[in-house]
Amino acid sequence: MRFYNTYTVRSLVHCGSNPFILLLVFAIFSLHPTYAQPGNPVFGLTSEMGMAVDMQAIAIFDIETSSASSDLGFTLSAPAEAGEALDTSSLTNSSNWINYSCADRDVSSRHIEVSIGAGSVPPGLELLLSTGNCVGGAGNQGTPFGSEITLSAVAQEIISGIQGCFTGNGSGNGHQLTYRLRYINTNFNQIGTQTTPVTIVYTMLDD
Amino acid sequence: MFLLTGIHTSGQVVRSQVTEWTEILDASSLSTPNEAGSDLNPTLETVANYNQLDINNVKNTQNWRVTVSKLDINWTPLFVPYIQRTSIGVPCGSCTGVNVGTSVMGYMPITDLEQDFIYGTGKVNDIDLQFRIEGITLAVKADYYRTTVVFTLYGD
Repeated sequence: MRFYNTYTVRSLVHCGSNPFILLLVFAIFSLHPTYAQPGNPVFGLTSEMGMAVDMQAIAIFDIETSSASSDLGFTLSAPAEAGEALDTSSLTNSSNWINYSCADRDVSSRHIEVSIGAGSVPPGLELLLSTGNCVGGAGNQGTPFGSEITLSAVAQEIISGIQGCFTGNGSGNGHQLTYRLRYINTNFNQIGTQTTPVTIVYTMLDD
Repeated sequence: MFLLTGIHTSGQVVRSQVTEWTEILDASSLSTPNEAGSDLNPTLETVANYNQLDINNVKNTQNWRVTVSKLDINWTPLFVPYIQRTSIGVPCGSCTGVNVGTSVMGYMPITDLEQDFIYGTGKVNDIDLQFRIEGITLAVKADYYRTTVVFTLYGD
């Protein structure tokens, strides 16, 4: 056995003196197939596939209504009894809802503002708006401004802190909007017969 | 010498033919497209033959199994990926191929831990794979979520 080992070493040494023969020997060894072997995996026995969900920013909202139209109409009638003031206590409307779907990627949150975009409320009256808590949906929905606001041409924030969320679609989902037309008692002399269209504008903005 | 060696052993033993599945979600991906108030469709799913797996460079009588796992890059646990085998592929002439009886049927979740997925014997090509992700919702912060599905071949 010792002689055999010696011979083997000598053969390799001899081959080593000829680079071409040594190269051939290694090349022949390398031609043995490399099969998957039982046991743990070795190099080459794994493969990978990437999987990605690229959520883009989404900012979409609308006004849904339980009525035939999201347009509102308030009719201010004359007092039934001479000498009485105008009664506007029943001039409210809660048929409109704000729905939104939001995905925030590059901004911390969004908010919604409201203003009168065209027209104006007749003198002696004011149009007020209150915004309800979000109903339905899921996620980080916005927080409504707690108090009733008087609508004007100046934008006012009514919902803040909207992050990744949705409200649900349709009336009965999202934030209920309650409008109220109020007669300002001190301004009765300004009340006149007229029809006044007013456009209310809602805007969603990045924070 | 190394070139020769490299050429001979470079045949991958397990190979997925598609390297990436990316879904871009925007307002058109809402359950009612572009409709405010809607959530995203909760499930994303590929076609049945989205990717193919090959088992190469194994003896015709070699029993094997493929496990599947994932390695997250930026992922949320709210998104649950699934995989299912939708065909048995094409075994070599004398190979048994995929063992339908022991392989997983239907969708299985892909987790961080390796789970046995397909059993078989010998070389097989074009085992069709289908993928699904559940739990998609706007309630998850928008981001570019990525993970890597890893297939590992074991000779049993």
